[in-house]
Amino acid sequence: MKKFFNYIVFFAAIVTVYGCTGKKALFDELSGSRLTVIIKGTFESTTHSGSIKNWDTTVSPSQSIDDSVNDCITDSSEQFPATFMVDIAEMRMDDDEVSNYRQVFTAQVSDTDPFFNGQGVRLKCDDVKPGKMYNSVKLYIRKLIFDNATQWYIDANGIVVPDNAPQVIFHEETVNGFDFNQVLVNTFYDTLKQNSADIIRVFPLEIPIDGGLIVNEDEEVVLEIRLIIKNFIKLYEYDFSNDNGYRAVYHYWAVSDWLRDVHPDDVYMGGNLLGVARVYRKDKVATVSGTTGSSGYVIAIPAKDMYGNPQTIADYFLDDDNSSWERPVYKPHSPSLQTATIEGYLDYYLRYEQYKVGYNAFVDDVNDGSYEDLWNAYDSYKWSLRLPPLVAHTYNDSGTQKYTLTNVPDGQYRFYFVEDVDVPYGTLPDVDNVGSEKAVTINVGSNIVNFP
Amino acid sequence: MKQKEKVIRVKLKVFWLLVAISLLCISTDVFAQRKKADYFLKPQVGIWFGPVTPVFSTADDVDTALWGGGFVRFNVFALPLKVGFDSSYEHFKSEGVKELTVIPVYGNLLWRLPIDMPIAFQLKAGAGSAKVTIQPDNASQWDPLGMLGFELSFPAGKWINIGLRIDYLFIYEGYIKGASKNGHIINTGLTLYLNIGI
Repeated sequence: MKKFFNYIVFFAAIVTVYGCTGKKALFDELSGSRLTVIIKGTFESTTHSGSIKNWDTTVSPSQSIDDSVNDCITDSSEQFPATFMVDIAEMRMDDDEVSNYRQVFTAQVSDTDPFFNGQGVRLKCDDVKPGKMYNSVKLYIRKLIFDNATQWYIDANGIVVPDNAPQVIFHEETVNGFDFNQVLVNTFYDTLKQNSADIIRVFPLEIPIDGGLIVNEDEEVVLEIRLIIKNFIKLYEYDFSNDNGYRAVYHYWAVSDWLRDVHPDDVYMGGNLLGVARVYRKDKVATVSGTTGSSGYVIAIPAKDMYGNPQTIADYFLDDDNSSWERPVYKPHSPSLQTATIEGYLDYYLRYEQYKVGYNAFVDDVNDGSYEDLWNAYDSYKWSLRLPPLVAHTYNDSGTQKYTLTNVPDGQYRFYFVEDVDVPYGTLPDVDNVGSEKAVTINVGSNIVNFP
Repeated sequence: MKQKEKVIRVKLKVFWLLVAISLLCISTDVFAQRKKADYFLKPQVGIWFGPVTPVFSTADDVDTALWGGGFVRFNVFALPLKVGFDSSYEHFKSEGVKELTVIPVYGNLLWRLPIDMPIAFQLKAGAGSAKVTIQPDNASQWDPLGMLGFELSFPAGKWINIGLRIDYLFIYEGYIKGASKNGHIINTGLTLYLNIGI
């Protein structure tokens, strides 16, 4: 028995010694993460706050009031939003639940808020699998709210009357504002298509990672997610009948309908929340600076895509001359507005009858799939938009236009320049306007790329 | 009036305490009879099953799960000591992608408290190793392990004892360069012992 006891003790000792062969701090790795996730609300990727275009807070029909707003317009009473509120339920990388945490943050609509000045807001994230290729990040967005929404109704005398400001619950508290997340549910507004009402575009919002993400062991990377919000919001209208039976509208702020045009009386605007994500290693990045001839955006894309094929800006931006750019709509005959005269009413109803006859004939005509083809061509063209991973805006430094692009991974790039006049408020550059292509090799450290 | 009630209540308490003590004294006689054949002293194999709970810093990363393990034990001479050999499988998940798998393998020394009752109280301490695997890194290695525990069990016939156990497992990584954390797990379980004669 004593011998047996000795064996047991001996065995336990061997097992204990064997345990001391580990080399990695596994419990530290379990709680740590190789991945830092930063989310920003700018088209620009740079962290240099000067190289980010300032907010243009003008409220005017030609600029920030969308052309779909057609009721109860009283320009002077609409104000640019002051606060942006975000409620994210979860974040996934492809289908890995890397951040199963609800995260809420509020950003001031200002040039100094981290969400809008290039610094970004950090999202909590667990770890990713080393060596695994990730192509997209999925944000499960619960709420996106801008304040300064207004409510109006048309009273019995036809006069536009202001009503209480719309309210919404954000982070368990009631706030003034409108949650435009709920209208981001369609790729294309068309009731002829069965799937028109049930495609939710923000739960999740799938954002492609430019170049993909792959983390090797003992590497730490930053994933930068950019939602295009700054200088990309417009005022929209939501029509309804209020509790007293009067025709009423909400006017609310949401992302620009530059990509998928919103027409008067449309409710949905899905697919207009645009995003891009990119990855860099903190210890392998460069800073690129330079001068340009005029004010505008400096854009850089990797010279080769993730499969090693050469690419240009035409692989990113879209062309508004393309036949699939315009949204296919079967337009009713004009004038469709009633006028106060009896002739006006008769004219309206006659044309309305004519429209119905024409519409029925149209449905018969396109029932062979041609209408669907048109829509699918439009939709797939819009989905082919890729946003460039590296963007900076110029700033005026004693008469010289300069820019600084930070956190550029080393490698080969194509640089482009597009002037401000070609990028009006609420739009992104058209491929025709992006020029001055330069092939540049960027090395870790400081680099200079000038545009004449 | 209230004071009177209080006094009565205290008196009642003392009475019931006395009843309980005297019952206990009477019953020790009965137990003494059975103790002559204390099957608990035989070699044992057993299994346990119950909640395994990460604690301290480990609790920040993964959640409680339900797992179990097995053991063998032998008495050492005529002492109230047993030596045992334990292993288990414990897989912890989290709300996200993090997962932790621990397979402890260790020897331990058990001391039966000298309480003259059919319920056996045992304190135990041991050492060994644990195979630790983490996800999503998919990395694994053997780490040294120390443990402290407490068990109580009562006989359910000649062959079987049924018990409860609480173990604290300490998985040591502090000696590794760059490590700031160790593993901490508390296992609680229902235990089934088979008393086997060799």
